[in-house]
Amino acid sequence: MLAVILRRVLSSVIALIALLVFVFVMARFTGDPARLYLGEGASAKQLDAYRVAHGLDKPIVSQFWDYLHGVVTLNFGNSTLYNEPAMHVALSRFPNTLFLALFTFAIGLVVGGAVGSYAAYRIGSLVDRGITSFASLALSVPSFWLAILLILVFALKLHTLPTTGKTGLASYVMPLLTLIIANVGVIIQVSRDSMAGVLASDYVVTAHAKGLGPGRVVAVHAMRNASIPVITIAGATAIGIVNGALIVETVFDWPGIGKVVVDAVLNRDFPLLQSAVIVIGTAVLAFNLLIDLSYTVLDPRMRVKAGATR
Amino acid sequence: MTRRSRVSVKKAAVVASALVAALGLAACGGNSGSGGGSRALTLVLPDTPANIDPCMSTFGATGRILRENVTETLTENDTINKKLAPKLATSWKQTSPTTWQFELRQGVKFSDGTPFNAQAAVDAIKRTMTQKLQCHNYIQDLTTVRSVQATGKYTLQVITKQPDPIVPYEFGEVDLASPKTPTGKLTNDPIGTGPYVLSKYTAQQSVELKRNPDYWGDKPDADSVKYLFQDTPSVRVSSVQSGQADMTVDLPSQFANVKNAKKFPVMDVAFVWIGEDQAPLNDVRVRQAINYALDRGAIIKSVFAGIGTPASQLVIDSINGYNPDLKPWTFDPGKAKSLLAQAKADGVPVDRQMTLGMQPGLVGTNGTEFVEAVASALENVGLNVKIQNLTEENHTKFITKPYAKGRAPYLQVHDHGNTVGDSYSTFVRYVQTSGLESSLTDTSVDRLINQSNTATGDDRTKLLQQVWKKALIDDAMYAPLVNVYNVGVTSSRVRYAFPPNVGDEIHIADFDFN
Repeated sequence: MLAVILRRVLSSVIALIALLVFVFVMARFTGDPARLYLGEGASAKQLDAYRVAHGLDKPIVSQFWDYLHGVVTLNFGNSTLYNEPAMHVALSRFPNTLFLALFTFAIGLVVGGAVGSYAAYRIGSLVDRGITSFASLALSVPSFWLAILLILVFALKLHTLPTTGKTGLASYVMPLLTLIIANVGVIIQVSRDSMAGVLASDYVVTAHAKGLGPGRVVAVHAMRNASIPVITIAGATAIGIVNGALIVETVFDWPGIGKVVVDAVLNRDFPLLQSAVIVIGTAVLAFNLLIDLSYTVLDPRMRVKAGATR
Repeated sequence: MTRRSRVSVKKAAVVASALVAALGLAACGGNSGSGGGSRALTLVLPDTPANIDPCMSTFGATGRILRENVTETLTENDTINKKLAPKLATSWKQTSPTTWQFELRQGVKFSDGTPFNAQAAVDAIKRTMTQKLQCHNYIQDLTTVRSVQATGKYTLQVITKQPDPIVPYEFGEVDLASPKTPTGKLTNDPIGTGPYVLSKYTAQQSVELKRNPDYWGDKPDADSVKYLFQDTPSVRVSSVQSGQADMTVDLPSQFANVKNAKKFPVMDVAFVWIGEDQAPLNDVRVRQAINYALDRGAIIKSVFAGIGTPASQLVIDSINGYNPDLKPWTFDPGKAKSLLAQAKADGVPVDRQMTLGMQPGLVGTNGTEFVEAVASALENVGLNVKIQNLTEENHTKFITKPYAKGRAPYLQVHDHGNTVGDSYSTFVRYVQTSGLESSLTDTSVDRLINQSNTATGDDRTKLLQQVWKKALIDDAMYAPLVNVYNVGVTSSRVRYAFPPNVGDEIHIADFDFN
């Protein structure tokens, strides 16, 4: 088991290093921060002074070396937009996105898994068709449209929820509802298909034949085997949200990391962009690692396979 | 269904009900609403400020909150009455070509109790000029200032590096913060002399102001103000129409006819920048032809959804020096073709391919349609135009000297907003031959501008008007296109006149409750 963990961590570190290089290069393709900040009419002298102040006058290799040195010493530079340490800005916003991702993951997994499993248990029935239709509908609804619709109904017509911002418990409802609805459809579908396959297995038929109740058959015997694809897809949705729930953060003015990335790109704030991408990349790799490890917990065969590679 | 499956269904129903109840309970936390009292104002704006430091108020997102609300300036560009008005300075005069003297208002205090006087003004201006802070106000308005000093308790002297006739206008964009404001870093706790003080700042979320009980001037109607930020125009409009907010602005044209919507001119003018560094654009007949080729009315109708007016110069009528006698060029493609034929007969390469760039994000437009409309109009009279895509920051390099050697003749659909309040601010950039964004080579225009620098009052204004005529009619150096308009919406609770400089400043004192 330890070997599995170490192998996963090593491959994650290699991916993170590649990401560090990639974000440095891509940031510099976004444009010239000096011209953007100083605006029209800035003289060549003013532009040069800005570039010197922010180290942008140095050769690109030199800038890259400074950047790597900063990463190693955990000094990611100052955000030109906020004029405070860039990593501090990124880390202060990230928990707001992380919360959305984890909550959506948890609810999506539990509710989507349960509903999909129930549909599989009642496969072919009216209930199954109803659930499948709902899942398809949830998948097809654009999250941007759904977010605005929720605001119009709950905030502006019914006056029960705040329009935008992270202003208290009530302000969490619509962003989470938008993300859950946008993602639960695919979880229900995968869960249904996975459970349907497992329920058709010989050992499940045997369990029924032995007189076990449906609840026990599903929860004790079938669920564990059906859960791996469900965890995979639920994890993928959480990773998608961590990458930047941009639409939700924009429409609801949610102070998350997705908005930070967009602001950084629009304002050519290289330190902020690099910091935000590093935070997101690290979180995504950590998520993937956790999901991979969960397989070894759920499926003993995975542990044996991993051990057999020694 | 078996008994056991009925029990399962019941359990599922209980769980589902609990979930719905939990969501409902959370919902009972209430909504934002529109303030806690009858005189509480709520504005919902599109751009979130990165910070609310007074020295960054030339960024519109910050200036709209702070300027003349929390912090004040020496002078105020009154775009409604079209004049430069006293604010923290009661009078000013130019005592030498490079020296200005301001007499400051007495009996004023910052909201932290610090008295406002000449030394406090010096401290505030010096903070804005501190290199470490990279204040945007300095970059925009104070680069010509060499030094400031208090020559009396309420007398401020400003010395410039070269003659600058618009120093009083420029100080209309320099917010003065309390001398106790930290000088080594930006602050999100602005202390000023304005009618409001900061009561709550939630980064990236909202800003709340409350009345300053010790304000020196007339008390505005609103007791408190809350600023919310929402990028989506439809949600902003719905917020106002449902009563959750009192005003929003920067709306696309499709909202121009909703209840309580108002279309109003802003400081921006869209025009075609013409590079005279290359033939055939160095021939005045070609530049005149460009002006005659453009149907401004049709462009406004198709590109701006009918919202806007044809422009005759690069500034709007509230700017000092605006020439009311200049009319927009008439649409006359026949005359354009005739001028081009004359030029061609004299050996001017009118068939040479020209590049037409488009400044992205031009206020109130669909950029692609705009540049295509202009290109089509020019091609219609026989010019050869190729469209160039640009980004927000690289578009300026094509119109800023020095130009790339051997480049193709260059045009750009461009936007200029003179927020300072005097035409000279536009001349130094776009008109006089030394201007960074001017390709003009007519030194007679320079002489007129220099003459205006030593004149005062109405004499100066007349000279500025002559410059516009010389530059835009005689020299046809640019093709002014459209006076850009904005769309705003108010609730039924308030009256607000939407002045042209609402992109940079929103004075709460201008709101009246019904």
